Amino acid sequence: MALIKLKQGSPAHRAYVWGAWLFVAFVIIYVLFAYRTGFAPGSIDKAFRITQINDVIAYAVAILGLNLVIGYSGQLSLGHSAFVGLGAYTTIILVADHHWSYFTTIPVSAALCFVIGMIVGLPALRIRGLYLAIVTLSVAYVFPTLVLKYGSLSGGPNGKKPARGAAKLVAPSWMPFHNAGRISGPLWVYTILMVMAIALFLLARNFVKSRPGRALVAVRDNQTSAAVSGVNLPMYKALTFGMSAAFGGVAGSMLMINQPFASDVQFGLTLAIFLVVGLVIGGAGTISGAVPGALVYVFVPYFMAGWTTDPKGMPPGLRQITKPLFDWLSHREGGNSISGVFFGVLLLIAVFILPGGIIDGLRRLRARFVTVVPNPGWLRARDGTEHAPALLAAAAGAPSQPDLSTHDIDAATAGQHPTDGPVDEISQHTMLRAPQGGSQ
Amino acid sequence: VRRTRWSTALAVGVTATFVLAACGSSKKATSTTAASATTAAAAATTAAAAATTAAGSTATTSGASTATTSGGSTATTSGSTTAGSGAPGTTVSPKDIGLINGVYKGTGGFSLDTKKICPSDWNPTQGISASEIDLFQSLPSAGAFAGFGIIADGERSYFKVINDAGGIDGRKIVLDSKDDGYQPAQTKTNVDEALGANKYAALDGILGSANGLAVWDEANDDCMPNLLNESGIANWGDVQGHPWTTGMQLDYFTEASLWATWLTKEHPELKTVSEITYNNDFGQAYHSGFNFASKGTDLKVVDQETHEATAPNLTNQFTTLASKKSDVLLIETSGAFCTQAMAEVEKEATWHPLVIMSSTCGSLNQFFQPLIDQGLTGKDTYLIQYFKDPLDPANANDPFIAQYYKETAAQGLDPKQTTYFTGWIYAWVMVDILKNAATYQGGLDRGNIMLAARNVHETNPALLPGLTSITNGEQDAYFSEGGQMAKYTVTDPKKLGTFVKSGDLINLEGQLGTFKTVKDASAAAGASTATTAAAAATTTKTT
Repeated sequence: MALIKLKQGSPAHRAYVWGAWLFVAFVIIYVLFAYRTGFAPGSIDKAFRITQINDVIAYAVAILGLNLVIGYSGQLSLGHSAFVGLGAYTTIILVADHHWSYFTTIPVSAALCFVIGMIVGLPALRIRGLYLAIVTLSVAYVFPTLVLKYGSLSGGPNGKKPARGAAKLVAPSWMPFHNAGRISGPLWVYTILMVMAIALFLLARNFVKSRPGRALVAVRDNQTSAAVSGVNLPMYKALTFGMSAAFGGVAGSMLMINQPFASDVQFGLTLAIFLVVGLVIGGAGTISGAVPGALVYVFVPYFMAGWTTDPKGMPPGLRQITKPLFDWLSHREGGNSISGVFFGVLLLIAVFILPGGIIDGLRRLRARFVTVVPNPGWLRARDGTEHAPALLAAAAGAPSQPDLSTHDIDAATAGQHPTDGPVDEISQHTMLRAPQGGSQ
Repeated sequence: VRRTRWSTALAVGVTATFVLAACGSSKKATSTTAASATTAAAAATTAAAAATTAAGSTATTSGASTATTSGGSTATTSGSTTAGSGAPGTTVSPKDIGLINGVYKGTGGFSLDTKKICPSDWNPTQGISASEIDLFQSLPSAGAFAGFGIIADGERSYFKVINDAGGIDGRKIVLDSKDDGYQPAQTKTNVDEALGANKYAALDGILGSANGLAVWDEANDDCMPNLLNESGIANWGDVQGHPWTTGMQLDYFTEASLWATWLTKEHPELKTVSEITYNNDFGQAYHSGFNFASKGTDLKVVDQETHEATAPNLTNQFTTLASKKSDVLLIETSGAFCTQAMAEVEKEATWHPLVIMSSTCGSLNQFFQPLIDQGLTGKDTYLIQYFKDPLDPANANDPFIAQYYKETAAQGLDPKQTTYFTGWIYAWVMVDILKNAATYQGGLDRGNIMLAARNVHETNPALLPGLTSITNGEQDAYFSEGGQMAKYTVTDPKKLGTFVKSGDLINLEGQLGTFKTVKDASAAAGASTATTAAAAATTTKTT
């Protein structure tokens, strides 16, 4: 049982929710000033680390888009790297060859990827599951080849970048860090990308919460009953593919804003696979899972590779344990390749102990300390009292969510639909009459 | 219940690791500081030790430097490597090179006004302390191209030899390398990190053409010496646009020039030439280099067939080529296409041209062994060689190769793995540059390192005897421009053959000048591939 019980809607619960959000906001804003305050030196004093965080933001948006297709509509799409690449190349070609501003290219790559995504989604109307995975995987496979094929447009194997010194984003003078030297550029990009990402996350959250969003979940859980309930399957499937591709395209544009250089291998099969890995590690079918997923994708291979060449940077403890291994590896041919093995092992462990992804793990962990007792407004209004003992007792055992992830429906724990989600009254009634899972 | 608790604990652990990793871990910072504190302490003790031994070592150092000025022999490593080399002497005294009146003044009209061209916080001695010189390298050390990563181990192995012998005036050379999986975007990420770390004196040997091109703008904007790029595109000689960037190996443009020179000299009876060209910068560099050098001769290109990276085979191209029946065939491609091209030409019944192939196809195990498996040999294919082969028994007594065998074996590396030797070659040049830079006005700093890289006058001990390694400011930006034509000779068709020298050594040292020559020649040759045009356009904008 949890240590603290919070009644939904109570002042304590509100403070809890607001506190969580304020903490997130604090972290987001803190990064902008961290170079000055000097807290945790070595962590954010390098412009490069900010660049990496910017990459995390972009990949989080890509994973979020992928989540719409895989996590919410339940269609296995492995071709997302192609959309990220398409968005990236759209931006970089328009910026480098046609001297557009980065920002004006974003709607273009979003629109282009939306259309292409719908087209790629067409096979999804007829085929399902692993077959669809193979069809979409072929998209991921073909994309780098197309880049090479149309070298005059894409720069071919040499990659594409704006002319030297051109198209650099400079922080405006009203930003506090505009004269902070090398770090000011990445921080300005961070600001831009963070604003974009927040908007996109809100968009995705609202989409998922809305009627089409619930239709998607219905399609995922049972296509036949969704169709019987009046969900237009082809339209929703194609729409999801399009939206997801548009998110991917914007993510590609964001990557280019951060690091204006595109090359074919960057958007190959590795990215396709790792986006899915990031999705699963973060938590499929959750909005917030995209963030830990992207963190893992950007930072874990980076530190793994760094530690295999230079174990000095490892956290103490881990370093002492692994020292014999690294001493043994350091004089071996291809010793560096071991970082890939470590990453693989880590993924295995993560999948075993966090089957629902990091977000699910965090929720289960939180459920040990804090429980939010559902107390929806309609219940209070009808009874005039604040008790519905049997229902509340049943719901209390289930983990519930006070933050943004409140409204996520978790694919991995499909039996446990959160009862405090913002579902409309009819479904709430239904759910309460026949509580699913929940009690333990 | 116990089980779930355990898994939760593990979950927390893993998440904490991720978070720690993401934040860069403040503990990491402290441990690094602690480490540097100890290094500083160690430095203090070694400094004291150096002071005591200084008297002994000065004699040797001064002796070596006298040799440089008088005999022109290299002032570099232990005498064994340079003994007997008739190196071309430097024409300018080190006293006239270096930081003079606030400007780095080099040879051959090369100078660097770092106050004007560099960022305001540019630090000339970044990465150069009393005890260390820090260098950074990005190359593939994991994934499909991991084999190249051994070059870094080879370089470190040679640096260890130098460091154990006292380093560069007591400074140890430290080479940090990072894996980029041969992906240009990752190279860029790695180099951005290195540039931002403010701890490296120079970039040393970025491997791959596209990889180098992805970062050379940033390196130059940052005034970071971007030395000895490990690929052969001629762009690395762009002194005007990218003064901080150099290559080292023979470039593809010059290699094709060597072909033309060799053909006119050794086979004046052969007139018509056809080419099979990789449709990228690499292939077109050969094409324009051959045109450049065959201008004014009887050689005439009658057909050029190109192929893309994605071509499944070269059959179509060879059908067209065979119909022209030219005297000479140039194979301007790399990788598995080398093998395919050799197979196509050997299977040809009626057309028997003289075949010259890119030196990148020289690996017997990689490119010739598959032919034997097909019942072919690849015999009588010509290619240019310019480095000594450490596996060739004839080189066993070569001082540099003998030293290579001795030291790598002593360090527990396998000397038969010749990629280590490649590392040794690059490291040798780097050490040479650092030693020379230390003799310039203002001492060893990043500006002088760049001047030294543009003022090389050596017979690199790894080059074939007779070849030279010379750079001279804005006059000559390419290290070596010579080679030896060799013919692949097979005695037993079931076994790998050997390369046998054909004709005299050709040295075009100093003839290429800078990248401008190549750009002009490419324009004249009508190299129409988009990539080349785009690359040229970019460079024109920047210059």
